[in-house]
Amino acid sequence: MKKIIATGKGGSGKTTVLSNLCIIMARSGRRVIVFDTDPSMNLALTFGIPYDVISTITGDKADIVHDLEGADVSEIGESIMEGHSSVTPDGIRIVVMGAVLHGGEGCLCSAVSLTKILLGYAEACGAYDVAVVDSQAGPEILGRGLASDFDCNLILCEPTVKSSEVSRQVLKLSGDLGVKESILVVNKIDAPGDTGFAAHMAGMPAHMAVGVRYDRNVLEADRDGVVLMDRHPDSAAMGDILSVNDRLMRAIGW
Amino acid sequence: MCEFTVLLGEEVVARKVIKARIRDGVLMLSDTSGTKTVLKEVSIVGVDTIMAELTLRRNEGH
Repeated sequence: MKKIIATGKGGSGKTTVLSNLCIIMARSGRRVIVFDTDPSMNLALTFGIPYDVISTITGDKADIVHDLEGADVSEIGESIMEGHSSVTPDGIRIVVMGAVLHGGEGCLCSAVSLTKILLGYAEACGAYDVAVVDSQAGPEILGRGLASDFDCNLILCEPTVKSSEVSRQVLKLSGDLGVKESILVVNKIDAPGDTGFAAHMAGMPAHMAVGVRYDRNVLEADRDGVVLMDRHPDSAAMGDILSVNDRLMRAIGW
Repeated sequence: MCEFTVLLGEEVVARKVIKARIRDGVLMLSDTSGTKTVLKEVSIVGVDTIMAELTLRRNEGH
């Protein structure tokens, strides 16, 4: 099973780009499972699945931990997975880690740990060709070790100094974790030098970067609650996301 | 990160532990890979959330 994570600064377009890449993979016959580990948990909504139809890991962590204490994950992993996920019309299974439910409740470490267990189960059970993680904003998720030995880190970045700085940090941590390939996706570009600028500021060679043009169609698709590929398949941004997909497929050896 | 490295004296006996429970004198550690480590005749003597370390001690006479 191939493993891909999307990281980067908040608002850089992780969920938007990733959701379209997942659909491309699913429609080409790949069995895709997605873990939404962003506490903002926008991924399911991007696929048109309302928040309230998926039970989150965070919401049920006490029960999940109790169940895991009494049985091996190989025995109960499937029921945990099915009870905390939803499947899109394209067959993409979405597991939602969830958010902090109450002020002062504590950190999300335990939910990330349970996500690691489910990710391990997804790999062991053989039911998926690729697992994709839509991470929370910033580099912290890599400090938690979730992406150890992943095949690719898609680093989403806007062509700004601040966004590039987060990308630089993320690239370093990816290397520490043994992530095999990193691709810098410079999103919302509107000038010829934007992609090269972001790559330079992030400390990456230009050939590791792919640009996605700023496109109002992305906003329209978001407002209509549909993915860009279905609403505006011929848009400039979608064309660039297809180029990202080509680069990704090469990176993971497909 | 709230995943503990478990030390018995100076020796690391488990990593990435998310749950520890003593039942009938037996300590069971569960980690993020789903692996369970069982240790007998030990006591928990330290819990350090800053360093994410759980320190054990072998019970006297063992």
